[in-house]
Amino acid sequence: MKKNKALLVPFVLWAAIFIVVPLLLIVWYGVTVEESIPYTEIMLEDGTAAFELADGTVTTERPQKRTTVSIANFRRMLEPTYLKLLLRSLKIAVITTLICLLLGYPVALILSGKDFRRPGLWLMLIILPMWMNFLLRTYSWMSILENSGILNSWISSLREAFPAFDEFLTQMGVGKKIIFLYNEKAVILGMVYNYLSFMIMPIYTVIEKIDRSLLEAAADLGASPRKSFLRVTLPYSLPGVLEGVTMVFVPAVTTFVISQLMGGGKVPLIGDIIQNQFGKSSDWHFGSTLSLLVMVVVLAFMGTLNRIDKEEEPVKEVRIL
Amino acid sequence: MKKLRKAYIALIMAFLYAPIVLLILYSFNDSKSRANWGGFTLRWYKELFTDKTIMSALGTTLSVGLLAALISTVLGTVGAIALFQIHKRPRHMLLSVVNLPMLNSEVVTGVSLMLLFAMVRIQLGYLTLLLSHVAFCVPYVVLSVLPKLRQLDPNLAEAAQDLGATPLQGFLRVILPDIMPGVFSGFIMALTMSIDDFVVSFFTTGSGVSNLSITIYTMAKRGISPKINALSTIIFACVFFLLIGLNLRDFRKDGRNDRKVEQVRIPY
Repeated sequence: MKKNKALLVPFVLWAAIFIVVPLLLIVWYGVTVEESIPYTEIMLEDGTAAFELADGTVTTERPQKRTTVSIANFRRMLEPTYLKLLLRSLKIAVITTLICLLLGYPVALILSGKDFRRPGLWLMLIILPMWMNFLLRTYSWMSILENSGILNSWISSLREAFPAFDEFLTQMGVGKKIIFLYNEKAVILGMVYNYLSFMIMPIYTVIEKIDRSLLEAAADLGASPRKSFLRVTLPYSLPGVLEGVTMVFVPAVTTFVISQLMGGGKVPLIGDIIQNQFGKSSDWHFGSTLSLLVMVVVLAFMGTLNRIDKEEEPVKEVRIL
Repeated sequence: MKKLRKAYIALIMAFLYAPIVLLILYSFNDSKSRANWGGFTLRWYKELFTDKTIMSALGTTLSVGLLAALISTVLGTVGAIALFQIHKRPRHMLLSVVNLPMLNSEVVTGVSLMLLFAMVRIQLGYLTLLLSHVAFCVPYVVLSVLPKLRQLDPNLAEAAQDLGATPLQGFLRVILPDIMPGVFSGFIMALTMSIDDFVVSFFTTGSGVSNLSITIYTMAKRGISPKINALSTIIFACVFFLLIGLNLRDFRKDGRNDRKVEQVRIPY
């Protein structure tokens, strides 16, 4: 191919304008604050209004706000309120990721086995829900779980049909209406629902590619299915697991919609606060500081994962048993 | 054991499809409230097409999706070719820059683009929405075209030029046909990402321009109109039958369908 460096120009320009500059802007907004200059309004001798600043200078123009470099927003970020929010976001994201892994790994494993004649079809059925808007699907969960929702009406008709069941629930201290929504568990359910496919896909892709002869060799050499899973499939599927973990963790730690819908505003996460700073509160500087924090958290997380990936790389020489 | 495994898959499917089935049911429910079933109706499907808000949101979603996919496919393909030609070091540097939006959370991408538009004082609206969608779609195109370029036989392009083809002819007649699958899958991925996007759109649109996601988000506070359910049912049914059709055709073609799913990248 003849080298044509001119092609690089539009691309580099695009990357600079839409990737580098916006990120630099976040950094700039994050380390600055906007402060209003204190002044007193005075009347000049000729009757025009003027403004006297703290240092005694007098101007006829109303002093504008000024932007100064400051670590004030970093201090604010470290206040217990925000730290608690960050910790909660991390906790919910970790729990969501673990549940997705526990639910998703077996799915990938089963689909790559011999039970299903058309694994491709089943896989497609797993991705298909993503073509329905995720807000709508989350909203639909709300109508299943809300106080007058489907699940509660099923439970109450079960109670009417089986008095023993009703008595049992009453003794367990379960009220007439079970409150499913608007708590951390509901938010986690919403996230697991939305991100489960992100976990299944990469794990499936990796398990699919594992050389079948390795498993046969393990069996020939007398490994039990359990052992050959632990010594062959599991280590070889690790890259897929790591990719799945990333694909679930990153959106989970920063989402702001699922927590608003399923948590009803009672379980605010760090993403909600960022959204708020760019919306209602309109403090772009603090919002940027929080965005920086999120970026650092995500990068640190990915860095750790990459280390694991390198350390745990499947051995090149065959060493199964 | 086999039954247990199948039951497990069935359970996961039930979990994934429960809200979707419910949503489809609501689209036929002759009652505005979600709490009770008012009988079967097609009225939401009829009213859908006269609802100006929904129709304009659908128009925005589709036009932004198609335009963004088209522009980012051109930009991303050119970019991938350019990246492919330069030395390893600058290539790796540029690639990690291009990867940034994929690593970053959507919130950060959305917010950073909003700050960019504020800096150059563009009024938030259709243009900013489109530009933002192009911005987050390009990396996906680059990453799906690059592997195809690596598989390319370098002698082919040289042969074309030895035979007197201009660089443009060489590109159009030799390189492009070879990398077309990558370009196409990049286009599809960009389209899907754009149509499904909410977070980036939320921060980068304004002046009354809203796509379906934004409209649904606004509605979610007051209660979602069954018309939206009807529209989603139509979209879902189209995709469903399209994919099932493609899948079954493949199945017939090569017996057991053991096509490797290498191209599956999940948009998030």
